[in-house]
Amino acid sequence: MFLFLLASAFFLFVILSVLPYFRGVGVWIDRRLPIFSFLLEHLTYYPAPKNLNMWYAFGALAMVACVIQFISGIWLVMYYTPTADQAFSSVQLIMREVPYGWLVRYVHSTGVSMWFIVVYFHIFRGLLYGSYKTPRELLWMSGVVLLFLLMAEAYTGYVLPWGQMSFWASKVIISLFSSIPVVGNDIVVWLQGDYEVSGVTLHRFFAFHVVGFSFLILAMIFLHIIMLHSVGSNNPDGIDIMKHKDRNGWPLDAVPYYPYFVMKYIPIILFYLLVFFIIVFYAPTFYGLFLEAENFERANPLVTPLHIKPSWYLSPYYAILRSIPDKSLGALMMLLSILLWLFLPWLDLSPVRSMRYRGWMSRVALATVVGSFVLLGYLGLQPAVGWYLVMSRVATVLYFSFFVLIPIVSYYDHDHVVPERIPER
Amino acid sequence: MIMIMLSQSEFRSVNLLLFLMIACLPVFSFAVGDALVELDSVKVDLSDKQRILRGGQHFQQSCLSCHSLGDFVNDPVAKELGLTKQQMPVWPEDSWNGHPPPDLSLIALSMSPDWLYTYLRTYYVDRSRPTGFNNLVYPNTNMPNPFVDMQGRQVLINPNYFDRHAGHHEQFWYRIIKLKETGRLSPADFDEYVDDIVLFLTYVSDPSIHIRRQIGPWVLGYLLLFISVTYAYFKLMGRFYFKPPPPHR
Repeated sequence: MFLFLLASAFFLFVILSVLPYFRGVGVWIDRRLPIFSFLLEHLTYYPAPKNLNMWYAFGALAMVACVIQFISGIWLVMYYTPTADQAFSSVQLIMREVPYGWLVRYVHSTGVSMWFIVVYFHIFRGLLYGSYKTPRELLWMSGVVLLFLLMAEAYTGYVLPWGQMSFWASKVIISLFSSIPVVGNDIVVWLQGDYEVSGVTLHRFFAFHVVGFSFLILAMIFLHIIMLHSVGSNNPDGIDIMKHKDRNGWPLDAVPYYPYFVMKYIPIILFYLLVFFIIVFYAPTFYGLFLEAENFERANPLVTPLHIKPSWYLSPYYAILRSIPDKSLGALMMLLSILLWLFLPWLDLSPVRSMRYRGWMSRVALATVVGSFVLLGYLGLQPAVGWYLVMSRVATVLYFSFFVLIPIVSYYDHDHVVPERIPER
Repeated sequence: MIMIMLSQSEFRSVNLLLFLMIACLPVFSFAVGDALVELDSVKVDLSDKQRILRGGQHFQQSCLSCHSLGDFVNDPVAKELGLTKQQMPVWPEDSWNGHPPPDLSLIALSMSPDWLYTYLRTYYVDRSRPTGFNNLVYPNTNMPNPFVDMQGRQVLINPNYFDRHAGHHEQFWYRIIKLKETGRLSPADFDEYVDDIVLFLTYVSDPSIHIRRQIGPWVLGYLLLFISVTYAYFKLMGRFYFKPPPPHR
């Protein structure tokens, strides 16, 4: 052990000491493929505002979650069979016979829930510090599109184990398309590839999940980061750091991303992995939230489960859908509940970005939309009866009232004076 | 301009929503419950391998004549018990009036161990059923009572239970049925017998639990160590990182 450490230290020393002599190789590559200067520009010398806090780790965590899903997904596809009679048993093959297949499968199933937790916190960070306001409107909109794609990816993936809830939830969601006027029923048949949800549907959802949406997500993440780096990061004070630069053009309130922020976020990423693996090793079904009990039964088109419910990360939208008695209107409101976020940069009229300098009215508006979203998430998992239904209607109204209130509230709110430079704390 | 347009359309849709909300208030709905009685909680100790094996033997004795464990046959525990694919029954789709006994490989995950433990112990005599028995946890179950000779016969002592509008649902099962004639095993022994089977079925549902418990502490310990090292490094680095730059000459 000691010898091994000594030998590796020696080799590290040798490699590090000869590396400068190969500088020419790096320059040669970089002139043809600017990978090193790209890394220097976007990772090492990216000017990050010096007051970025823990909330800003969720962007990096979302990237980590994405990488985890891609890697575990590749290994799952190696053993998974996307046919109606084989899908369910091939998942059991992965869980029982493939060496460490259970680990890969649990990482993938826990990963999607963790990805959504991270993404929801990431969105909350954006709302809290006004990251959607000018000049970051397109950045925000690409984020909304990413959320939409992520939900599509999660939904198509949820169908693949071909359990009872996979089958019936997919049936419910596909049937939503039939509420589109004129072409609705044709779209349903086109999506299913059949007149019912069947093995054909499973096979094409597999294609959407593995190739379609996943690559769209990668492309959108790339655009998201390009947009972020061309306008620069927002910060918890919502102050534009680009206004005050030194003689070299470096913003006075910024520090290079490496090493300070890389070293700040590495322990946070590891902490995320710690929580992740506590769930994977000790509570992989997470009490029926991450892997539903009903989905351990093979899909049976003849037996309808008692409560059809979506995964927890889609339940707020499902609660909105159910709280409206008319199906077409419900589907429209469900769509609007996500699409309305696209217009937020123009609905918010306040000149101030961060909640730190906003008045009480904006804070109440934010608390309303977040509170009603969480409440809808809880209610979407409960049966739509009695008080649950009444509460979900109230929560739906509260949720949509945000979009009505925010122009008024942000216009009349008593904001505080925002300092020119990031204050020392 | 766009903003005003949007907000107006928003007002309209919210008005519509409010109208619909008020219109739908008198909609009457019934509550639906899954379990009709409180489930007993069972302690599942998966570190006790002898007990899992004992549960497997009980399973072979009481369940294997009708139920298969198709996904489980290649597991080391199945090899130790001598469970083979040949022993397991294969039912055609239309046998048992279209309800053939299901495969139990995942039953402890699709139902819970608590559900299984309570379900297997709450059979009672009901002459209206073709098997002569009914169940409290899963009313009108098609499964005949497999434990008549061990448990004995339980009878209904509280028929009010079925009058759900009288507020008698969601009770404890022992307030509704009572053991009338004891069987081969004493009640305590019988509970343990069922408990062993439930433990075995819980293991069958996810055999990875052993290896998860084995390597889990190592993975988490490694992460904890790595977190403390990187965090300490960050704190040490941060101490001199934001020092004011030396005065310009």
